[in-house]
Amino acid sequence: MNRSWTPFNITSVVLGFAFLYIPIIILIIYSFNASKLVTVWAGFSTQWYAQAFQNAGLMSAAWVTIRVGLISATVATVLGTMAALALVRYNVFRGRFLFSGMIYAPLVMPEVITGLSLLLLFVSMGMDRGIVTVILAHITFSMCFVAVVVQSRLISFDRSLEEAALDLGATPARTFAQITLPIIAPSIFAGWMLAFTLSLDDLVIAQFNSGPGATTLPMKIFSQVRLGVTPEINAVCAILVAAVASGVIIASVLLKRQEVRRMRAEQLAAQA
Amino acid sequence: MNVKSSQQRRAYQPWEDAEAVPFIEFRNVTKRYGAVTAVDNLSLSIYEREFFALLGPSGCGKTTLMRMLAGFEEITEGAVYLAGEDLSSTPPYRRPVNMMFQSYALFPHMNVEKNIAFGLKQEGMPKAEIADRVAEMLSLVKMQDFASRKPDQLSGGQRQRVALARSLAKQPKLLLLDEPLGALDRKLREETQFELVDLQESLGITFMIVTHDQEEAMTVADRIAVMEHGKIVQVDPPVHMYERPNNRYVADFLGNINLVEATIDKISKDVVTLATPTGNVLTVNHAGGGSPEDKVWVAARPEKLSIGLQKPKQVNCLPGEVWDIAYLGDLTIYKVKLDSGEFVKVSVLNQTVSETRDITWEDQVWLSFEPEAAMILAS
Repeated sequence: MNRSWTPFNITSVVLGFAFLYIPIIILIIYSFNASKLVTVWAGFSTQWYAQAFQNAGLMSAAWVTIRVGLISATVATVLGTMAALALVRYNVFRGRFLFSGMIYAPLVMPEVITGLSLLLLFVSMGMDRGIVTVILAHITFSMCFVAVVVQSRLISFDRSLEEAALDLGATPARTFAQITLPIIAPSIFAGWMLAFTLSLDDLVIAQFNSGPGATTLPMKIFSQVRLGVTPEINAVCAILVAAVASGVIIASVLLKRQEVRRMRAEQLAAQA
Repeated sequence: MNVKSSQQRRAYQPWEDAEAVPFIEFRNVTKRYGAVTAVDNLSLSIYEREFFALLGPSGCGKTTLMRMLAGFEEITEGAVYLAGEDLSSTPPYRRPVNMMFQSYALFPHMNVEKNIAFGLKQEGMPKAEIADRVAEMLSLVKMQDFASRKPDQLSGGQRQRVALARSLAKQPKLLLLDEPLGALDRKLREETQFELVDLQESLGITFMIVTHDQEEAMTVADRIAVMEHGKIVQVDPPVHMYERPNNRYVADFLGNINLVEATIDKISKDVVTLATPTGNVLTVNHAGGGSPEDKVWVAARPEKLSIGLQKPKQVNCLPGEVWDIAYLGDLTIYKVKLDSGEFVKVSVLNQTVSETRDITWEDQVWLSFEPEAAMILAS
């Protein structure tokens, strides 16, 4: 196999990345545009960032988004981790196969359907739509992502570690707190980051389930863009891109590092 | 083969004493996983300060038996007693038993010191005492210089030592060792086997080891239980097990054995006379059992046979042809085809330095053995 950089390889990589990233790069570049006209470059400036931070509407939307993200990611992480533990550990309960299949379903479910079904649920329950319903909706769709991330770590977890702790006199609760939890902590944190990021950039589900006073940042941006793109929006979007990218990068670095460590441990075990 | 077991050195044989109280007792224990029976109505007594080995091929139920003692397997029927107490309702974390795991199961997020201290902390031992005990354990396994290392910064042999120290730190009444040396290379494994024996003698703790390596079992154990299909086939000290196996399975599992088919001709007080299908007459010491006309196997270890070009004057002589020769350095193994078509292995100790051999391929040879060197196996 030819592994060197042939002209064909270079072209396909460049085209691929260009396709993915040129729109985002253009957005970031124009967020530093001094001109009020989005498509005309008039020199470098950070004025739109300053203005965005002074825009009360944008800022309150950002604040809603952060609150929704923090709360929903945290609750989703707890629930998702519990689901993952149940799926991996108690492999004899009735309906396990169905349950484990169902945890993956929301990953591929169209957001419109998730959003609409949750809306119908809240309406039939007589709940007023607002920040609480947005948080509940976000917990619902992000907990399965957490479950999947934590589950993949638990599958490769060496159960004899827990047996060793029990054998040395630790109760099951202490074993979980002192052995299981610290070892799977990186994947739980990665799951949290993923859930937070998903909540941060969700538009469709929030659109269905939010009410007055609970406008998230993506909703705000979307409604403003319909009146025309302003450099201010570009600046907010650039900040969002940075936030989401760093969240995803931190999560994947954590998972990668864990993977490398496990592979090294396995190699060591094989050598020994 | 290393037959020098510790029991010869200290003549400790409580199993011979009818009044001795067993420390561990399996009473009619059965374990089923669905339709599979892993342990089948098994009873076994183990005594205090004994080094006991469970030996058998994988899947024979030896690990299940050990995990029952640690509390990781529920017993389907029967009960296990430790120092006279029924263990059935005691969870693993309340048993005075510690286990060293095959994978070592060192906690990856704790350094060596914290790993060893883990069990002591659970007991609520004062900090100063924990530090003393950890230091003591580290010096016991000669790992003082590695106290602050993480498990993934240690070699296989070092991790094995830490695992041993951790399982001994709580001074359990019984230490379980699940294939403890399986991951070590041969040289290190042999060294560690002797260290384990010394450690067990100096600590005076009952050790129970699970292994599939018969040499390991013979080196370390006072008594060995050979298991097959969830049942114990024979429990005896290594020498007895090797020299007087109950049946062909045990004879074959422990070392090499030659089996020659024969029919019992005459049983007198001391010896049994047998005839091979090709008309050779064999005389073997009588160990009880059997009756004339029984089809049996005459079994003899390769090192108990002699090989020569001339017919010797001994009572048991079998003619054959040299089929193969394996030179192993300390031993030479001759594979001889008997006139009956059966193959027999003879091992000869190479006591003199010689690059030539008297006996070579396709030589017509005579094999001989003393009546007490062989045994009769019915099954």
